[in-house]
Amino acid sequence: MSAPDRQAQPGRATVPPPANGHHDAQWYRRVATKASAEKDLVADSRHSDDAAWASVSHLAAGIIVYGGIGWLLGRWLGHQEYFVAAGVLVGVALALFMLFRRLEVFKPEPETLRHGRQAAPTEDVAPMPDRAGQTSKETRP
Amino acid sequence: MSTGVLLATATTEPHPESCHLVPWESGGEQCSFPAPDSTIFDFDPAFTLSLGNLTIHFTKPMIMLWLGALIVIVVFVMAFRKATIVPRGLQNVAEYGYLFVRDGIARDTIGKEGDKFVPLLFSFFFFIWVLNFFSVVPFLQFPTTSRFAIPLAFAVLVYLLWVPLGVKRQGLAFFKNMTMPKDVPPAMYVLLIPIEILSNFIVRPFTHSVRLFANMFAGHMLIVTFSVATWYLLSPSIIGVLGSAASFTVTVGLTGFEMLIQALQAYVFTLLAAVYINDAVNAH
Repeated sequence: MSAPDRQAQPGRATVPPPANGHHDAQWYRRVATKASAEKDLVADSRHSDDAAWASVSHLAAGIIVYGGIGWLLGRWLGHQEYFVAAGVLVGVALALFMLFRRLEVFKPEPETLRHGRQAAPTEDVAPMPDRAGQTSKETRP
Repeated sequence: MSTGVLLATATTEPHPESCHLVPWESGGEQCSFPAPDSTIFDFDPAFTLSLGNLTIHFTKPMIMLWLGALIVIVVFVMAFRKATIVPRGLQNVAEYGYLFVRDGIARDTIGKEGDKFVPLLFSFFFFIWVLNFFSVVPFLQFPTTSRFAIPLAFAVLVYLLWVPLGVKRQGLAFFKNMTMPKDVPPAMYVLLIPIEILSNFIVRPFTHSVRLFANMFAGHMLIVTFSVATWYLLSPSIIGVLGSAASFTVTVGLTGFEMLIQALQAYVFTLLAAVYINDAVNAH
């Protein structure tokens, strides 16, 4: 799906039309919920794309800044090789930390997404019949 | 692919053309592999223009830049000169290219404001693609973007666009948005802000251009190495013929692979330009 479609009719394409052909309030609410979830998905993917592209320059910058600080400390205090190595490691660690944070590895799922998933109703979909020919709803205790 | 053309246009001709693993004439001297080095990227001036005290040397990459611009202009002017509502032929292809840049790069990355930047992104994409594609055009056989100055100039152009644009749109908050990462504990700001400043304002144009330059440089080097090897291994013996044929096959395969990389790198450069413009247009 291309971007203009998404902007013109957010959520509509992914919500099945009502079974009885009547677009009631419930259906529109479902579209709106889906739309907000989709919007966040797009924003999220764009955000993580940017983070992925930024990873190279973040790593380089981390190494240059903290490796440089280590180099200067080493010049001042001696044992230059240890300071440079430690500085480079700190720089890489900070750059990776920032990358993971931007990719939201450490963050819980955004509220809207979870809500969107929960709100995707299943009552319209016919329950799967099990082997005995009964629907799973009936066999459930 | 003729190695003669490549070597003849380069500044130095370090090795004789009759250099083979097994000498062709009996009693001939065996020679070591004439591995191509960075001199294959240096060119003597093709012609020189003198205007009073000013002397301008025109080299092959410079001429290719003009040629690339001319090709892009002529192709798209021809495509849209007699535009019809239902596109046919060249117009069809050109419209597809336009839509690819508009929908796939500009609108997808920048959002609804992306349309303003389509002319720039479109020019970048097709100009860089043509310059990259010169790598496999017979007799040209040189990716213009493998001279670092050229991608660097493009990246500086993008940099000079998005930094003032960000200040114009967001004011001084632009620098705050670009240097203070979200989602991190404020205690870490003192550690992370130096990285962000260096990364976003200094390293960024560098990585933007190096990505394109290094890919095209390495690809050209690979093709030249296997082309030279094809000629070097060729000799009237079983091992010579087999080795030469194998090397030639690799050259053909690499040429196809390079054509993929050329389009991909043009796309990546344009996409990154759009990502940077997005940073300036949309605060996040």
